[in-house]
Amino acid sequence: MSYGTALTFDVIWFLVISMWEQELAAEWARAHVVRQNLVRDPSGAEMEIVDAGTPGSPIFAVLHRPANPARGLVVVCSPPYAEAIRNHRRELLFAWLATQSDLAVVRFHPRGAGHSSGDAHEITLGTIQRDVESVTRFASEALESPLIGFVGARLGGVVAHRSAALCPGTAVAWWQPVLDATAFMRELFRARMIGDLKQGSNINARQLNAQLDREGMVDILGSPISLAFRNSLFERPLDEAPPGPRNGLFVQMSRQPTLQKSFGDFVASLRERAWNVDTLVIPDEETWWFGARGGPVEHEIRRIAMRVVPETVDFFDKIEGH
Amino acid sequence: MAHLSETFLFLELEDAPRFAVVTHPTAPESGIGVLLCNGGWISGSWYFNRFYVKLARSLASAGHLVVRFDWFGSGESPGFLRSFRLDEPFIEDVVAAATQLGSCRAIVGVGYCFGATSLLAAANRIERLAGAVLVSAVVPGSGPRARATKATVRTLMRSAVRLSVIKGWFNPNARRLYLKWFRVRIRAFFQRFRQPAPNVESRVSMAKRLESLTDRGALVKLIYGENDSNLRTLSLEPFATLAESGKLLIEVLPGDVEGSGSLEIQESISRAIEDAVAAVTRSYAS
Repeated sequence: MSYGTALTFDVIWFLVISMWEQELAAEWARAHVVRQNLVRDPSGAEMEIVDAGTPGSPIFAVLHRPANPARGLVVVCSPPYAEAIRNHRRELLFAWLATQSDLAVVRFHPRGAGHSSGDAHEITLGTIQRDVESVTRFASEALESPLIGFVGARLGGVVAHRSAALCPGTAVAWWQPVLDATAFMRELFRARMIGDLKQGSNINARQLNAQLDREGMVDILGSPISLAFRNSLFERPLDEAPPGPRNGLFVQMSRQPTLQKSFGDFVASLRERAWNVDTLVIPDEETWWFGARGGPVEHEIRRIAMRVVPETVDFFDKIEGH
Repeated sequence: MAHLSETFLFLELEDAPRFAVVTHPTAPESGIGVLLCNGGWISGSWYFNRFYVKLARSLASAGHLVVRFDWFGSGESPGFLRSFRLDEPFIEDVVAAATQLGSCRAIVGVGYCFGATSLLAAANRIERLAGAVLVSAVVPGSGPRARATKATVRTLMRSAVRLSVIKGWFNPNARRLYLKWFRVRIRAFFQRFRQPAPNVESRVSMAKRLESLTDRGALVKLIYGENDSNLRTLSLEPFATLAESGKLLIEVLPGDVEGSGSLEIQESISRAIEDAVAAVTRSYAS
C-alpha cells in the first residue's frame, strides 16, 4: 500500500469513526428506566439485569431483548480476568446492535469475575463452561427464543465452541480466540515480567511457573491465576471444536494484515469438518490483551469495535433457519 | 454471617440512565454508607482486577451499605462516551449514586483518579459526607491532553517539522496518534466559541474543595503509591501548602497505586480505605 493510500485510508476511517460515534451517542443515550433493573431505548429494545445463578451464588447476567419478538438468542462468552475489561464495551455494543436486528442476546460475568459471586482464583475453564450452560438455559426460558449461537473473545472463544458442541446446529463467532494454551500462559507471564521490569524487579517465566506449582497461585498484574486454571487450559486441546455442518465467523484482531498460520490451520480444519466459516482480519495494534488498561477511547471508538461489532451482528442475522 | 446480597439497578438521570450496584450489609448495620467512584478509563464499576467488588463486599461484611456505579457511557450504563476529562467531572453521576445511601447517618466517599476528582466536585451536594478517601487523585490540567490543548501554534509547528515527526507520518501507529492530537486541537479551538462547561475543575478549585471538606470536619485521606506519577500532585501549589497544613491525612504506599497492578498493592489500598471508613464509623459511634 502506498503512503498516499494509507494516509487517505486513515483519514477516511478517522471521519467515519467520528460519525459513527455521533450516531450511537444520539440514539443510545435516549434510553430510559422502565423498572429498577430494566432500561428501554427509543427503538423499544430492552436491557435487563438479572441473577442467572443459584441462591447464595449469583451470576450477574444482562438480557438484551429486541422490540419485536426475538428471531434467535446469542450467548456472549466473556474472557476471564483482565481481558474482560478490554472487551466489555465491545460486547455491550454488540448486544445493543443485535437487538436492532431483532436478535436477543445474553451477556454475563462468570462466577469469580465482574459483579458475579465467587473469587477470581476459583476460575477455571470448567467453571466458566458450567456458568455458560446455566446462563444459556436461563436466558432461553426468559427470552423465549431459540438459541442460534455463541460469541466469545480470547478464552471466551474456546468456551463458545465448547458450549456450541452441546447445542446442535448453533453457530460460533470467535474474536481473536486463544487456541494454544502454552502460548497463552507465555503471554500472561510476559505481561507480569514487563510489569515487574517497570517496577525495577526481575522475574522470569521459569520462576513464575515454579511459583505456580509451589504455591498454587501466581499474581499476573493483579489477577490471581491459579494452578487449577492453568491445568484446565491443558486438559483438552483448546482448538477442539465440534463437527459441522455449522456456521462460523473467525475474527483476527492483531497487527498482522493476514490471517496468522495457527488461525488459518484452525479455520481449515473446521472447513474440513463441514463448517461454513467466514474470516475477518482487522489489522490494528491490539496485541496486549492481558496487560492492557485501555478505556473507552482505546477499545470502543477505535476501528476494531466499528468493524467487529456490525460484522458479527450481520453474521448472526444472516444465519438461515431462525 | 448473612449471604451476599446485592441489588442491581439503573438510576434515572436527565441525559441517560446509570447502572449501580448496592451491596447490603452482611453484619450488624453500622449506619455508615460508602460510595465507591471508580477511575474513568476502565470500563465497569467492578474496576480493574475486580478491586471494587472485593472492597464493596468486604465493607459490607463490616456492616456498611456500599454503592458502586458505572459512569455515563461506561460499564453497563447506556450512552456513548468519547473520553473522560479530568477537568470535567461527572458530578450528577456521583450525586445520583449517593441518593442510594439516603438511609445512612454518614457517608464516606472513595474516589480513584477521575473518581476522586468527581467525588470532590460533588462533595458539597452530598449532605452527610463525613469522609473522602482519594486514591491517586490527579490535578486537572496536568495530563497529555491538557498539554495538547494548551500548546501554542508555534510550538506545534516546531514539533511538526522535527525529523522524528516527519518519519512518524510513515508509521501507522504514530499517524493515528497525530490524528488524535489533531482532533484534540480542533476540539480545543471550537471550545473557545462555546459557553464554558458548568463543571470545569481546575487545580485551584480542587484545592478549595479539599479545604472546605476539611473545614466541614470531614476526614480527608489521600492515598498515593511511591512510584505514582500522580504523587507529584502533592508538590504542586496550592496542594503543597494544604498538605503541609496537616489538615489532610496522606498515606504513601510502596509500589504503584495508579495501576493497582498486583494483589499486594490492592490489599494495601483496601486496608487504607477500610481504615478510613472505620475511623469515620468510630467517630460516629462515639
